[in-house]
Amino acid sequence: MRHLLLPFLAVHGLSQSHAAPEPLPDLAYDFISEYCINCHDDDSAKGDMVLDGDSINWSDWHDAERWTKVHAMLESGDMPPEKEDQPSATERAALLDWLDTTLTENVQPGGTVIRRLNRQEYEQTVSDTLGIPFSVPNSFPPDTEFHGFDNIGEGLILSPPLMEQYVHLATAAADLLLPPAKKTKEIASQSYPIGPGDFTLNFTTGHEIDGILRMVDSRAPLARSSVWPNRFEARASGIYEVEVDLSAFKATQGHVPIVHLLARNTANSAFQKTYELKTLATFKVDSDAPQTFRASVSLERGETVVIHYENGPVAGDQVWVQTGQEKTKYEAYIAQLLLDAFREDPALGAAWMKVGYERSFRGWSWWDKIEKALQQGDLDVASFDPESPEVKAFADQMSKRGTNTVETIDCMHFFKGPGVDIHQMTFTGPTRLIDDEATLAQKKRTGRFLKGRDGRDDRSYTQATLRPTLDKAFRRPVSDAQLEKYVSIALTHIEKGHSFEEGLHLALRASLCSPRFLFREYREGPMDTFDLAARLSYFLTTGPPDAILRKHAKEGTLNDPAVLEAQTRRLLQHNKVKFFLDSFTGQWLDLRLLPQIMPDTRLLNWTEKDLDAITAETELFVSEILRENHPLETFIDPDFIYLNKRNAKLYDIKFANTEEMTRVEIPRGGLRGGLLTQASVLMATANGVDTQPVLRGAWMLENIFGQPTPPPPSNVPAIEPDTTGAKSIRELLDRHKEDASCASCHLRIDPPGFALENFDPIGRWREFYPVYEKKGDKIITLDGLPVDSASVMPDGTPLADALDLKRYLSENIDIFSRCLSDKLLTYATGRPMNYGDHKVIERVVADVAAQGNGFADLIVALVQSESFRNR
Amino acid sequence: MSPVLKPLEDLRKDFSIFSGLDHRAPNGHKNWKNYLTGKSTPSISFDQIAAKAIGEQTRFESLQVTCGSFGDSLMSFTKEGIPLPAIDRPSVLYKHLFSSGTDKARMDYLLDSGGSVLDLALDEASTLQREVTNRDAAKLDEYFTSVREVEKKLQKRREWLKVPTPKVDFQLPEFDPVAPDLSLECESIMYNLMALALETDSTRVISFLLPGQGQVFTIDGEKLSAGYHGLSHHGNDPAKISEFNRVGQEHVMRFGNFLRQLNEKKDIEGKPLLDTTAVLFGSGMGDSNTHNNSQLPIVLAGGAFKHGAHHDIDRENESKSTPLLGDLFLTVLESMGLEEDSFAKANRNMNDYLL
Repeated sequence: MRHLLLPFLAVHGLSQSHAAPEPLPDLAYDFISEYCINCHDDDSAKGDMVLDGDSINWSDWHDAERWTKVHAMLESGDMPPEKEDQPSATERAALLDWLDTTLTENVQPGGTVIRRLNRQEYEQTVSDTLGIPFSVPNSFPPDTEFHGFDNIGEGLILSPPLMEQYVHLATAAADLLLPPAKKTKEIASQSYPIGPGDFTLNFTTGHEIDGILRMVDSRAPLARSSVWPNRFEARASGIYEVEVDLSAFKATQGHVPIVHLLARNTANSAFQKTYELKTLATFKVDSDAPQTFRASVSLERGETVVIHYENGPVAGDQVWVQTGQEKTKYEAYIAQLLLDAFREDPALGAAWMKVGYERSFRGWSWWDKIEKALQQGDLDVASFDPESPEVKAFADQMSKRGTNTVETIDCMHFFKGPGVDIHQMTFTGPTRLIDDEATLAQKKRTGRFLKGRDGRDDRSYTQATLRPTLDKAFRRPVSDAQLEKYVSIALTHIEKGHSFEEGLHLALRASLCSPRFLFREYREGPMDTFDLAARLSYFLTTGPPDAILRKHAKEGTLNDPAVLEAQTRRLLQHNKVKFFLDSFTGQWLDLRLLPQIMPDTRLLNWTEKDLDAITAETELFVSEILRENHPLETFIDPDFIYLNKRNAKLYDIKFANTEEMTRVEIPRGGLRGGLLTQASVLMATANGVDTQPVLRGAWMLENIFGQPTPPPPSNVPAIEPDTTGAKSIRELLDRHKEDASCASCHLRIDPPGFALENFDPIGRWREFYPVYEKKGDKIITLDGLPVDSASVMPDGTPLADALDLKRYLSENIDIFSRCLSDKLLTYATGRPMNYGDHKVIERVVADVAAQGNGFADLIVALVQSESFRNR
Repeated sequence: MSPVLKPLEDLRKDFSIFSGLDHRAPNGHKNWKNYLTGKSTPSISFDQIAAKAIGEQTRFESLQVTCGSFGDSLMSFTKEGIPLPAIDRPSVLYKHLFSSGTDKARMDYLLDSGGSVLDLALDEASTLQREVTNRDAAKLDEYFTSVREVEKKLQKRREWLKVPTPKVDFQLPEFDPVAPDLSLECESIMYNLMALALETDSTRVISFLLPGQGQVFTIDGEKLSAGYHGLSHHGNDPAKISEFNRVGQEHVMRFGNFLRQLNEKKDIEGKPLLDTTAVLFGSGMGDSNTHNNSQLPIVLAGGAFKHGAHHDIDRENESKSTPLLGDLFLTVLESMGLEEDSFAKANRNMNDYLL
């Protein structure tokens, strides 16, 4: 046992101003005795709530939480339960008044529990601190979500498997800065002959015939056009001599095939595009007799060489894929290839049309059938007219089969030409070893880190090198005592006979395992400028403070409200704000859940691209509101929307046939536009198959209204949607009105839920619930019961449909502003908001509303508030 | 017996065939992954349940192996649902199992110096704990517990370093056949290394994924007419089905060679290795043509179970007692000394079929 550890130290709240517990005043004591104590004494402890004390101990956060809950329950009318004795309006008001006063006085905004860096923050912090390209492996444990976010102090656990990763990755990170000494191995130059049968082929990228390998396809994805050696990859980064014997095959009319050699890492996907790879050599194959082409190429370890025919007879997709016009233009291209071939050889056309196609026909299996038809000879070539509408229609049909048809066109060209024939390929090398790109980058980094010794001894050189790194790693200037520990571990290591670099390496490993690196926001008392800089930076960039912020922290200027505002606005316009938007929006609006929801295939042919579209729509929307500082009302009722053909289809909006997300202006007060009716939100609040008004309503309350509801009592079963259409969901849920214990929450949950019932599980508008019937082996959709979206808000406002809901929120925008502020502060401070925080939020929301209600302004105001500045 | 299984003819008494077993889990393109987890949401896989129970006793708790790098070739998951990376090159697997020399020296150095890294970390934490509030101190406790656990693990690894790696008589080919079209070649070499791993008791849990993506295989000198993926979506074209089954036979042939090796080898207690090793051969897809994951093809070999039969589970007349694939898993786990009550939707076992 190396250390004596006392896990529960009796540290009394050093920063708390109250020492003695506050005794309950008579009014409170009497109230509780009459209306609460029967269920909430120590014995019954209903709902885990015990109220039989006679004082409140404000230094114990449990007490603060308890009395905050008492206030909430009394204020909403949830307590006492309807069937119990009720206090008079005056009694209730008096108690609430007292509670409000004492809670406001005693519950200071704050209370964040020490926060471990989450996965994203850890990755960015290691990268930025050491200046290395660092990322965590797939096996890195995911974070636990708490109060809706993955960066809440209380929720982030440090488990042994995670610690093991930290220890392991600390070495990996240190290696990127100070790599272990490598013995330069002598790698002898070798020759690798590669014959036509030794290439990796995909689909119809090559055809072995008459002792050569023939290529005809020029498309961009390697797996559609290119070949590369099966058994050659560079064993070491270096220069290699390449020889390729190539000849042109049936290159008519002055066509000169051009061949490129490309470098490819063997571990990468075969669907990489040629334009993503480095071109090593260009050859003009201008003879139909084999010529030897030579090149000296530099290859990184693990790379091989791809052969690509640049200007062959079958090509065309790159440009169109890149400009998003892929389908229509490419189909026209394929049809043209076919028609041209049919014009040249009508017998081929006749044969191809005779064979027709089945779903599984592609590549060689289809070509073999066509060849057979040609050989059989009983074709009506005379009446085959390539200009006729029938043949044109056939070509169009075949073009829609995309790559399946193109592969067979490849087969045709293997015999018709033009093509490039590969006779032999040889590699010799490495003739010289070189540093690969990664090594070159690392040498630069190491040089920057170590700088010059300048005649200093081990101790002073170590101190000078470690101090700035530890300042960054711990996000505050390292104390002399602390620095000494790290210098010691390095020097001791050097004394044992290890190199100077190894000593530093060890100190770096230790610093990345230190709790001062892995945790933040733990210093007692008000946050100093270093804590503030870190909190601001992790809030808006999920990364550690940059040089400018660090400077303001060190000089103490960050405490100046003008500086704090300027820095906040600087970060909001920084390109790293995308990390904030991604993380915050993805969690607040549950965008991260979307990939797991599999929509019912009876609804729609759902693809990844549809998912991408609806996610992008919301992300672009929120990003614009932030960037342009639009007023918060924009979230609910904007005058713009982001569309591409996919979400436009869901919304029944006529739109151009493009995948590109486009900003479109729309009139306010319409159905679409705004978070409430975005497909992403509507999908995240359903399960892909059915909608559940209670789930949607509860989600709205939690994330838009800021009035979260407790879970249902455990004896309530989930409602199985009655898909025979006999009972409407409303009838099934009418229980809510009858049972008093249900009504209290459902009066609030049901209205927004029903208002959104006109949207199906993927956000499309519907007037009727669908009923599915089997007709043969198909399933058809019929209209079932009509959707009834009318409801009444708890304050009596009637809502006919989603438009009314939108209007309600627009007119009471502060409800949303408070909710959004709660979410932002929870995310920023890593804790749920307490009573004091809620008072702060009310004030901030009012202030910001009076000054134009801008989203960026809201964030600035929240950063300036006590909730953000207190721990 | 299905013609695809022909290469296993002479081993008939050493394996059992199962038709009609599955997890009653979702179908679809990506859901083949629920083959070993039984569910589509992230959860622990069958092999890892065993690894957690018996992995302590060997140098490697478990091994995950595949042939060449195909991205997303992962089927073993931790209890948090994290996929375990797989070794995809024969030279790397060989080094992992049997290396010595410079790599060992570096490992030893890291583990040895790791001690002082953790010492300093604990020292920092003790100082820190004196500075923080009660609530934070309780959270920091997680840190102390975790560091001490890692210390124990490192210690164990250092002890294993002292144990010499087993010496094996094996010739690695000069070149790692990781090109997609060579994955069958890679498969053979991996099976050889896996047999050696079991024989030397380097591990007692292995999962091996045979990739089926775009590879254009050459079988008996003949290049097939399409890539594997294209063949698997045969659309009931008999020519394609025939080629598809030829690839299947190649896999089965290599599997058979693996079983023959296990038959000849002895485990570290001198018992025939096949008797003390349960081998599950199957797929996460029942009908690749339609991406249907019900009624998976399953072969169970070894493990001293009662073999030789084809168990055709009746799915037409399903009842509460119709076994699921998870029930088969439970029988295997039980035979290894584990006491698991359930696996995904299965909560009985198939002892009646196999014991």
